[in-house]
Amino acid sequence: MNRRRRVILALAGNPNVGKSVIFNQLTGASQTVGNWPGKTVERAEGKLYFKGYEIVIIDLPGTYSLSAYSQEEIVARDYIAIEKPDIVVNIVDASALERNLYLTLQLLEMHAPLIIGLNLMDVARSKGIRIDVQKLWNILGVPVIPMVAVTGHGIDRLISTVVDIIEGKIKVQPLNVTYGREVERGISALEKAVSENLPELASKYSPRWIAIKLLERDEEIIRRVSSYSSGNLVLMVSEEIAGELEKVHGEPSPVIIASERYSLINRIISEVQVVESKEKATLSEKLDYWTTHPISGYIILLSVMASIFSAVFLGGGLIEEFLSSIFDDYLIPWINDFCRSVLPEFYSDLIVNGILTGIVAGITIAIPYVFTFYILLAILEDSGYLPRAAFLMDNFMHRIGLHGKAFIPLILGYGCNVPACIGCRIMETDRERLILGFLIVLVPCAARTVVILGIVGKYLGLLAALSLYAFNLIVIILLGRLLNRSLPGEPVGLIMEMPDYRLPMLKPVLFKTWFRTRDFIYVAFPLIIAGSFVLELVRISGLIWAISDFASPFISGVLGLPKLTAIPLIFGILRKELTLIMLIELFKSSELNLFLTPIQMVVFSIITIFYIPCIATVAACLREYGLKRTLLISFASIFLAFLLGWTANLILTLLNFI
Amino acid sequence: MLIEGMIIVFFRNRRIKRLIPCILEIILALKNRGIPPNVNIISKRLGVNPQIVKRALDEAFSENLLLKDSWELTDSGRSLVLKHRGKFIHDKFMHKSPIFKFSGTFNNLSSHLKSNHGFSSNDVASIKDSLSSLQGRIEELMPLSKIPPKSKCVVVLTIGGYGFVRRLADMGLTPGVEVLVERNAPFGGPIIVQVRGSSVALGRGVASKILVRLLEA
Repeated sequence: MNRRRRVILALAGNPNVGKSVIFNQLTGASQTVGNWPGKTVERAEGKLYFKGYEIVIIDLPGTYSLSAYSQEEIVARDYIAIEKPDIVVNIVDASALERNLYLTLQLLEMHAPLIIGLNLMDVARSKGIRIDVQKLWNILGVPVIPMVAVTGHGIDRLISTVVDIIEGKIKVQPLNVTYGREVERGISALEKAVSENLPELASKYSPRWIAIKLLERDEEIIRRVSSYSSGNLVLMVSEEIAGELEKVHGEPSPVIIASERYSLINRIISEVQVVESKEKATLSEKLDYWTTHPISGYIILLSVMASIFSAVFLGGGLIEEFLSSIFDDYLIPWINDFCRSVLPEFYSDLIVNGILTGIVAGITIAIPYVFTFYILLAILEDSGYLPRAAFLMDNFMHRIGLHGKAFIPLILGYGCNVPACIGCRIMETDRERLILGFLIVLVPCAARTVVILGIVGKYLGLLAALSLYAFNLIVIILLGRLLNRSLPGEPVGLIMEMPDYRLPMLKPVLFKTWFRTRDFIYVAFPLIIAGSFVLELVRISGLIWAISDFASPFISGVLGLPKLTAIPLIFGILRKELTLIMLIELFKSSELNLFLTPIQMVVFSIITIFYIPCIATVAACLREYGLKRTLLISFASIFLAFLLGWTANLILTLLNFI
Repeated sequence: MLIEGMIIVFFRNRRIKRLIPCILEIILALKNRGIPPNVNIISKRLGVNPQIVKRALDEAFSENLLLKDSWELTDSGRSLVLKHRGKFIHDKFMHKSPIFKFSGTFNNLSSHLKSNHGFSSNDVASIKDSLSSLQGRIEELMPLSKIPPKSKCVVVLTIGGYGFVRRLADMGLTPGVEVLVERNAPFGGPIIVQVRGSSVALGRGVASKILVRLLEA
């Protein structure tokens, strides 16, 4: 054959089974990472050339099941059902075969052309688990390839098996997943109703699969079915059948089906797996013990957080300083001189102060802080520590209506809101993500710390600055509780696997970091540059004075601030620390206490802390939440800032009189 | 003397009334296992004097909760069991305070669950399914959140809506599965369990909705 044949291969599997390691082994540097359309679920794609085949590899999100619990599960099953990849490689954790086969059965149920990559054979062995691979192959009727992905063992065999299947050299006879008698009867009755009434949906997914999902009371499938006019009839049939099953078994129908899947799995496992008593606790188990311990766990958590903080602050700060010095001392003056020599002042200001400042702002935030943060996040993710941190903080986070996982993005918000916003995607539901997003933009990041310390800390003392932090935390907690009460839906409790600890590998960590940083640059840079361009235009054209005049009844009248402060607040949108810098520029003095009363300092700082997230954060929100919610978050935060500023002004003035 | 006697009779009658649903539960469980129920077995399992069991049974027969010779539960007997279980779950696990107690039929309870606890009709239906299928006495069950570390237990019931019970099932927590509690901090917070070969962390709220039977250590 001269022509290259194109094969689409999808990687599926539980989280934490080494899927991304295998993906990297297969594709090397030829990957593209983005989002699934309309979803904040990461989509990675790569290519591999083998024996004249061009194999396109899609890394599906890691899921435990194919129900409609999370966006990830919906993405994975829709891809398999609708896009119909040529091969689905199901990566299975050999050390937790029972739970992993649950997904495998569901993939078989979808009639996915399956190959099993039985990964982590080494871990299974160290736990005393022995698996008869050939027997598993025979029972499942699809190839089962033992693998140790971190060492690359089994990768070649996996690929050649893929090609053998494509060329028909290996015959497969996938196991028919069948249920108990009553359930089967229900499924076939419902299957008939589906194929008669919903031919269009049945051509996308198989009627049997729709029937099973309906009996599992899958919200997403029910929604789809009910969007057809004849769907209600099918739903009535399914309700009746499910009700009957529930009467016979006395369990909710999703539980009946899950239980029957597990009993099939147990029959398979008893054939293929032997567990020998293992000799001693593994290193991962010991680490797990100490990192979840009620005392040492918190000490370790504190030190991990402290080191991340200092790494992001110090490391990021160092890089930022270095980059800024290059720009400020060499590049900007040089470009400035050059522009002035060829262009009139108006245009050169627009280019230098507008576009160039935007680029510099982008580079000096994105590269130092975002990149450093992403590396650390990737290491934490790959090592398996994040679930432990979430476990320890679950109790506290419940007080603000979220669960343990939300702790990580929230605490990172103190460094920079941008990566924290992107980190919101680790939450399972939209509701949790929205609450967390709201709270994160209120967390005083490093730039706002500069303002708090530079105004309140410097003139009113450290205690005043710390009480501002405390005040901020109280507002966050109260707002969290308020949002949790007022948003529709129930708060989700923590249900989270605690994976084994693993040594993070350099390559996957760097890959992840690079792709995420690049992604951020694509989204944030245009906005930052455009924003700074517009602001410069406003400044040069003199519109800025008009705006400050326009805002003065509000700024001076309601908030009791000097009229001029409107300008730094507007520029603060670009970068929060600009509020302080511009204040000093405007007053032409760094002795702010000559121009601002203590009350004004506090009010100004409060507004700076709370109002609209900086433009980079807005960009990150836009990427994670879409336009509507970003506007909602931005305007809500402005409103909150002025409300708090107004109240603070009122109360402090009153106290002053007394 | 007379008043004293009346008080004693009153309390004994109340005790017998309370015993009836428990006895019915045991009869259900015995019949399901194919063991013919009799007074001695019931009194042994309840740890109650056979005399009292007998009186409670007579009461149950006369109130038409139980058929005399076949020991089959009537519909009203079954609904009494359901109500008893619903009340137990509700009073014990949904309201932490001992003050609020629920009285009334399961239907009353359903509307209360919907209006006060944010469950949908589907969720209540799912809870009802789980409750009516239970084998054995509901009082023997403990929420997973109360199980001390290093002990093994079997999941009997998961209380919640379809989405919730399906999510638990996806993670391997189905009725009948054996669970080993690894961590359970004394002052609240989540717990860690071993289930089907993997470790899973469960928030305290989640764990208190999983009812288990403790296995002997």
